[in-house]
Amino acid sequence: MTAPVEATREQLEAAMHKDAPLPNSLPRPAGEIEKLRAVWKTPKGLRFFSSVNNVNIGLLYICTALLFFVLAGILGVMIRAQLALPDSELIAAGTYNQIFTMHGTVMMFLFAIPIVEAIAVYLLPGMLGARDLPFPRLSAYAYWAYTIGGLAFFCTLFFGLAPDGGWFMYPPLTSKEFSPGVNADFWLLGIGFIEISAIAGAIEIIIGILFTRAPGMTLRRMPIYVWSMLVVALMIVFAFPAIIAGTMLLELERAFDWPFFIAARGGDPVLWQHLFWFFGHPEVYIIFLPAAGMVSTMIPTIAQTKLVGYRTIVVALIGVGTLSFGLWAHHMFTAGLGAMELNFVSAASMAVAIPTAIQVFGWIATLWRGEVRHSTPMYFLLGFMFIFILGGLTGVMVAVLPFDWQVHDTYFIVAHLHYVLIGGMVFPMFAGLYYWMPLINGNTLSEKLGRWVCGLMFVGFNLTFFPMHIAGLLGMPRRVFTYSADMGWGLWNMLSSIGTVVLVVGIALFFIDVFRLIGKPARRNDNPWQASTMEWLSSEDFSSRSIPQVHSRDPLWDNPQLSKEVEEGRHWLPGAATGGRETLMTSPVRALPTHVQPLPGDSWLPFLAAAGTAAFFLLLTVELVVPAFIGGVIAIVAIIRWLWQVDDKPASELVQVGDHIWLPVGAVGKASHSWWATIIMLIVDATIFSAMLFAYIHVSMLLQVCPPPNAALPQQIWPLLSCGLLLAGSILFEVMRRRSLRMSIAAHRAFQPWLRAGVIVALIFVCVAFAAEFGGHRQAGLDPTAQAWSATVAAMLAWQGFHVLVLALAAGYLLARSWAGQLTPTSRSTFDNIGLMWHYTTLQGCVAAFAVNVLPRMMEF
Amino acid sequence: MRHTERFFPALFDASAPLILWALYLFGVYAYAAVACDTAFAYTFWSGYAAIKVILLGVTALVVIVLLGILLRAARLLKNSQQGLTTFARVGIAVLGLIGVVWTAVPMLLMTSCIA
Repeated sequence: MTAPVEATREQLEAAMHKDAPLPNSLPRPAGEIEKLRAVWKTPKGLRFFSSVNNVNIGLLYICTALLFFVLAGILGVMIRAQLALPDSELIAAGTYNQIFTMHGTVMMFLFAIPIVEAIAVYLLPGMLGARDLPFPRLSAYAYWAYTIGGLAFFCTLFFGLAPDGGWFMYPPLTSKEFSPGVNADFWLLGIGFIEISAIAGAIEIIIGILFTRAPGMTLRRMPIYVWSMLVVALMIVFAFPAIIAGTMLLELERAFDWPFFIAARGGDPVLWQHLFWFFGHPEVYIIFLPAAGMVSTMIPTIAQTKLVGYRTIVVALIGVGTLSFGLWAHHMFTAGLGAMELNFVSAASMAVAIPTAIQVFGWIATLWRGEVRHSTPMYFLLGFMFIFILGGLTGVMVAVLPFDWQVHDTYFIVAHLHYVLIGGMVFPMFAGLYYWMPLINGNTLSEKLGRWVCGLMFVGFNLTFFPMHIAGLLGMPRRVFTYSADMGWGLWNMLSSIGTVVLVVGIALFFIDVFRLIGKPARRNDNPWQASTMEWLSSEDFSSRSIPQVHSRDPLWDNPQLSKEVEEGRHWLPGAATGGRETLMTSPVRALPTHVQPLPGDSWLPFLAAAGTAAFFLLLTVELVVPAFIGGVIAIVAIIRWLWQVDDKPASELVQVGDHIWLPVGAVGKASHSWWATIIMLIVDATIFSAMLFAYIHVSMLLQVCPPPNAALPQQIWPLLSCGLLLAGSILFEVMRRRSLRMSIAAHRAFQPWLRAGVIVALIFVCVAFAAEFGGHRQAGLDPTAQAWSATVAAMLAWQGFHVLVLALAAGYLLARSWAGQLTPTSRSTFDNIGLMWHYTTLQGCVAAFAVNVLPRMMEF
Repeated sequence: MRHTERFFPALFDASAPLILWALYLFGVYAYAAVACDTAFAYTFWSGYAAIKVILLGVTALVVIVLLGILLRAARLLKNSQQGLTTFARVGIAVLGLIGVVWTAVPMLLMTSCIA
């Protein structure tokens, strides 16, 4: 028997050719499928919660998001009960403030965004033909962080500690002066923390889509839902950092009196609005685009024809994703921005209607061309189109400046946003729940009951929210807890409240049907809708037995035998080749197999890490400092333990994925998925820093002289010294890393003491660099509480300090791995990824030093 | 097998018109915000507001660049297979061009910083 040899590109391309025989032949070795099932088996009992695979985490995620939908919905019902009659005293004004704030916050942050990611976590591996997403423990961490943080955040309502400044938390209302309790702090720390969980999910989704697609699933064969999730995940990476930066700045103001948003001390409340809406407007599309992706997936199935204008819709998705970032200021038309700026944003707001409309026309054309089958998902989709188009039209209306000036902060806006969000996201989500429910236990929800659910929801929704347009046009402001009978708003509010009851009955019927379905015995999913996408191949924990070879955009339609072939194990990687959990990694454009990636198994570590992180943030809010830091330490230890396990040397170098095809196990450098995940994480990091830099420039532009009279720049020697040391540290680290790349295993081992010394010296350089920067500012008398300019400088300095601290931890971890002999040429992801973080910290430090020390001097000219 | 595909450069290249639109929007927004707050707001060149002349000049430049990108993408589409990426280049260039032209309309309708 000859030794296995890694497959060449030519061999792989030949094996993937349409006319080539299937990658694996029959009969399969005895026990292959049993071993695969054993490896992926979901633990029973309480240990179920330690499972990390996408099916279990996805289901938990969806259920939790639906729980928050119900909880926020109950708050919505309370709002409607209060407003049903004029001069109502059902709910006190202060409590009402907490209720509407929590309703909006929970709906947006704990339901809408999480369910988008939850559905993706559940569906994507199946659709892509992967065994699982590439970082299962990260998915589990993101889920538990969201659940623990979200539930704790919601419980603040029961103690009267819930935030009460509206879901977008505008200062000065939310400043310490006007919101002195901890209510606003819960929002700031809780939401910031939940956003981190959303970003973790986005990184997982991007890497999953780019590197775990089934062989042959090129970009033009990617399901449209996958395209929409790729665009959305990229949007999350660029949009969410702005709110993370915003919440950090507002919390710093509240906790330490750094006056970023206090106009009297050189700050600007409008700065918060910029940061919030730079996240907040793309967020609307972050919620809508996955729903649009679901719609584009369901409509061809329902019409039994291919999607009309696939390529145009992909372009439209990318167009909406980009254009949505230019609309942030259309929420600020009454904030006092300049006339020209307002008009630019107004025009951009109208322009986004073009790519959105392209999608709608694509759906209509697909329905027109096909033979539409009447079903509950279809009714929900029709409801979605009707409601969403109305919401879109009122969106164009409020993009017109004079109209917006009239209806801003009235119930017209409340109606518009509910038409867009419920129409654009909740109706497609319900269609999706009906459509994909058979993946859970093979059973479909009741068609008869489904039509009632859809009808009641449609009527209830329109009865609830359409009258709000009129109430708004009549001048009813949003967020008032009651109104006088002689305002003439009584009828419209009563209609809205009656509509809410109808809507609630519809939603309640849905949940009754779901509980009925869960009680049914499980059966094999037999693709009841005759869909074309691969999630219908199987509903096992590992997706399908073998990873399908894809030759078209609609694999199940174009190859009716695919399901049988896959289940027989005739496609790629039919067993557990490495003996553990794994998935096939492919190239990002042509989806050529590159290597087999071992995946970590079930563990409590993600749960522990998430619980520790949540404890740190939440306990710090109520000033329980010691328990908070204990939580923080638990989180750090759990994460280090988890990371330690995932960069091990692979048990074998090559494994068989096809009859004559062997691929390497794991990858290093740019071929490694963790390298790309680190790059994306650093993009997030850089965007957070950019938001802080924007705050600094924004505040500087408000000044007559910069720096302001009671502040000064440090002497030039300090930033120069700091940048020099940062660069020296980075160069030293990189020299060490590159030298170690070229060594044999024996030489690598002998090099370890030098490597450790080099890392220690590089770390000393970084620490001294920070000390120089910090010392220079101290010497110049930097006082962050004095005015906003100093506060923004101090914020950037603190952010750099945080990075130095993280580098110190990372360097310690690297040294520990070196001492333990875990740093080898084949397990060096830790080294490569820390290298990326190191260089980023250098870059950030130099940019901050330039901005603080050079820009004010340039402004003098 | 180590792949040699360059996904992100290709994505960046295809998305360039939309990125250009985003830079254009942020650029004209920031420029108008800063310039309208200075004495430059009252400067006129041959009877035209200086700010408006600069904004229109920049717009013309961006439109020319976008037309160039569109032409290149259209030529690629004509000469190669009708794949997703070649088609997307054209579609994205059209969207970028519409975005820039549409965003620039207020410049033609407004006399200066104050409408």
